[in-house]
Amino acid sequence: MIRRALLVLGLVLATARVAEAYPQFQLDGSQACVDCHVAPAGGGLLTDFGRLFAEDLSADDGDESFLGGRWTPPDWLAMSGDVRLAVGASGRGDYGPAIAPVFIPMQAEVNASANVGAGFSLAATTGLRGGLGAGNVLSLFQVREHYVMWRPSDDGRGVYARAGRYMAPYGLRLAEHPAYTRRYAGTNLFSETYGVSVGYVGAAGEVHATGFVHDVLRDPVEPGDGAALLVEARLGGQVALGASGRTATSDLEARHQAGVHAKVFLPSVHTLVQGEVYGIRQTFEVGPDRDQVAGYLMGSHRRGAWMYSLAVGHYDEDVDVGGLDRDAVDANVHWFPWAHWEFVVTARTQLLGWGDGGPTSGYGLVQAHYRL
Amino acid sequence: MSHLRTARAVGLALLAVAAGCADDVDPRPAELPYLVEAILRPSCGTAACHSSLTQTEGLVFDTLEGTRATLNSEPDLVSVLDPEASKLLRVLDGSAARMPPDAPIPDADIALIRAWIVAGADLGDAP
Repeated sequence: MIRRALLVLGLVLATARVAEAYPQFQLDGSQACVDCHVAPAGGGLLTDFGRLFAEDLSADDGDESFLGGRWTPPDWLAMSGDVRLAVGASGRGDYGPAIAPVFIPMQAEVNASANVGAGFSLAATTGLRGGLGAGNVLSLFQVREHYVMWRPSDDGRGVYARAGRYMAPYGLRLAEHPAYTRRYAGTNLFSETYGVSVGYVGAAGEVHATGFVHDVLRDPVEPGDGAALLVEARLGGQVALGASGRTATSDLEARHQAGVHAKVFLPSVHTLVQGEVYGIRQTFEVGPDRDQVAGYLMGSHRRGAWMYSLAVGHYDEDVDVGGLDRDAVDANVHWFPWAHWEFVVTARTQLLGWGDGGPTSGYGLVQAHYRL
Repeated sequence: MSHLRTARAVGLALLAVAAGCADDVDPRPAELPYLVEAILRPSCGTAACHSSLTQTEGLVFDTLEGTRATLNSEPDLVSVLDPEASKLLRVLDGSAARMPPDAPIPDADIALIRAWIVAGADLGDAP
């Protein structure tokens, strides 16, 4: 029983995620990430418009303001927070034994952004990250993001520059970090680095250029130093096309990668289809170079307080070696029953070495997410 | 002359067969530094699991040094020359509770780790 509980704990922690943007909403009532989020490339702290959008999304039209309006921060300060809990269970197939569900805290974070004048702001996201084994107990706490930003416009559009700790913008920036294009393409969970970015966000599109170095203050998830570039053009309000490139070099490996992404909103069926594909060249200090491919295609349909997503992913760990490909089918159902609340049911099936008789796996999770 | 053509044809056929067989031979090195960077770190050493930061079950697989320390402190994980007795392989291939729980690794990666164990599981420690 303990082993089963540990397995579920591992499953939930491995699939834990932090509160991030749903790009599924980008072309649905809005156009740029900054319309709903304070950060220039999306994720985390919501703008006033973002809270209004969330209010419209929830079934009960409740008060989406911070703490439900019990306390209003001063005008120069924006605040939010997220608590996420999950119940998990694995499937059978080749995965392993069926296991009992357990209740796991995944995340508890507070976001704040303070305008300090002349277009400058200070932002931080801090709290508890899910999971601690034998690591230093202090590692349970983190200031995952902290940066200073210069952005002279009031509406988030136009030029900006920021410096500090955050995830270098790259690709679709999906919330679902188990997506192969996140997990294996440099933007896995907690891959934030220290960096300096400059960018521009406008009606026709946006560009983000970042130079970054790995975190030397704690054991980094991303050990490399490098740069990332993201360019996205919006065509006619319902189509967005983008391209990204990223390079990161550490003592033992170097990764150079590039790819494209696209989003198409189909208003007649209220569905956003988005996809991204990347080629990755990885070189090692020991062993041959390898070329990888990672792709993800997701369709999301929103209907009232519900959002349904179905996605397929493909990742080939080394295109020159057989049997290292893996494919996934993900299904997510999101329900926004009340203001501040979200429930998500997630199911994933994976096929390894599909066609070569490789193993399969699967899991299901139910998550509860409360936003302050 | 016809013998030469025949010999060349046979040679080319053998090369073609050899090339076909080469697809079945994993060209990757069964060496710990490669295994860590190419397989263990992206699959097992993720942030919330066996990273240096989290160290679930006290195991670290996201750095070469951490992996060496883990293998030295947990002798059950790898039984030199005896893959069947190695707990690491048993959890990877699912004969024990499968790991990683969210994203099992392909058989070819498990085979490469097995080859490293069969070859002596050299940790490559500095003398």
